[in-house]
Amino acid sequence: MSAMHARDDVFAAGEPGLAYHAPRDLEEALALLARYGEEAKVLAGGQSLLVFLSQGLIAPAALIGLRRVPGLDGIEERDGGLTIGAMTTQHALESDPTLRTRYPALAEAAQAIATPQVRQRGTLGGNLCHANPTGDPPAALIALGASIEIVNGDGARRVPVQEFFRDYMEPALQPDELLTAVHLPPPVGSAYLKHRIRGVDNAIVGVAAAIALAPDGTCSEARIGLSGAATTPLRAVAAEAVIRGKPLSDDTIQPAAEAAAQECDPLDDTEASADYRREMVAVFVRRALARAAERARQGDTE
Amino acid sequence: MAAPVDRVWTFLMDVPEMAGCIPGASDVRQLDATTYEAEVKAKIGPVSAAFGCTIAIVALDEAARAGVVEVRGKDAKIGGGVNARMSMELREDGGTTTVHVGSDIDVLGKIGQYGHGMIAKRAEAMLDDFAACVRARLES
Repeated sequence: MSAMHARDDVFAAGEPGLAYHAPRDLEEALALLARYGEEAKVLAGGQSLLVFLSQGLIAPAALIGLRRVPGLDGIEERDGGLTIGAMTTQHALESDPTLRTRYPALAEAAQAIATPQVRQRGTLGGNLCHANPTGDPPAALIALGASIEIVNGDGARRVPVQEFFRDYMEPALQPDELLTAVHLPPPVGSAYLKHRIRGVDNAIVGVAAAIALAPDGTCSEARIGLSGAATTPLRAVAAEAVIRGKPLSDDTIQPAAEAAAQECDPLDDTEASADYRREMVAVFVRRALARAAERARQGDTE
Repeated sequence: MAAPVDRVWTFLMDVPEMAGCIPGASDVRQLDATTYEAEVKAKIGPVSAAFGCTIAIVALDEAARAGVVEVRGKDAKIGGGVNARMSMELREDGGTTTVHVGSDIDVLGKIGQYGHGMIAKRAEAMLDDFAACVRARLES
């Protein structure tokens, strides 16, 4: 028996009252979800779920591990964009050459997560379903205009990523649904910047920006994703509107940064006050826009 | 709220009635003249807590329409609890009543570690819901 299988058995043996299932395909996984409803938790890399479980914050009746379900892993070029499987690890994202050159915001967000050990295990889908408002990939995916593929027994649907975050740590998923993939549209200039005290911390504030330039150098499209700026990951639509269609300079970037600080509504907690977070949103929106614009100019997207 | 002060006071002093407006509250029982028990359920993200609460009226000034309530709630499953001291004063102004509420809330144990920023935000939202419910009951 491989080490992986031995690990699977630990849950079944170690937690009384907690069943562990390792379905072999998507159909089986969905059938289990339908059977357990809200009593089951889906286990991807386990880097958030197992912490909640071991602290006793949650007590599901069953874990449904996705490790043996084929087809949920990997990065694939499709329709000029990318499709990323839900079980793709953060490490795979941060080290993928295509992502690093064409979608640097996502590679940088993956690289900003916790520790190398966590990134080896932690997955993109798991991170998104945890829906932590201070997570890193959500902001990057919002800026990159990603959509989320969700399946249940009846079929698949796609939602824009910002609609996936319903409330604090609450994804827009029904109990019988599974996040299977993330779709990225064709690339533009992008960047993710994270403000934190220690390297392993969650973001005090994280900002991802994506910029497309018209031939005359004005900003033809802009998207900004914020982490640590509300009870959910947030799209800074007011800030985007400030720079869309305008030339990119300090004169337009600064007002956009201020608009982002206005439209966010950060939490006040032991990591940082709401006021401090708001100030940092302005600072990091300014820096992220400047970096994304620079990359758009360099054609770093090719 | 657009209701006379006597009506608001009577409602708030009728603990089982009033508890119907507390989001997630159920099973209210009176223990003695000034003490009650209730269960209050709350869910934030994936974490659900069920607090067994003791509610004690520790000060009551019928004439001034003012009172102080202490709530001690414990969640046995997760480990942790909530202690709250809430003061309340009603003022009447031409047939409408203003309810002044002061609260001092401690979140204890593991539940507190989960994220006090979000818990504070949810507590505010629960108080807003409570106020809206009381208004809906009395402003008719």
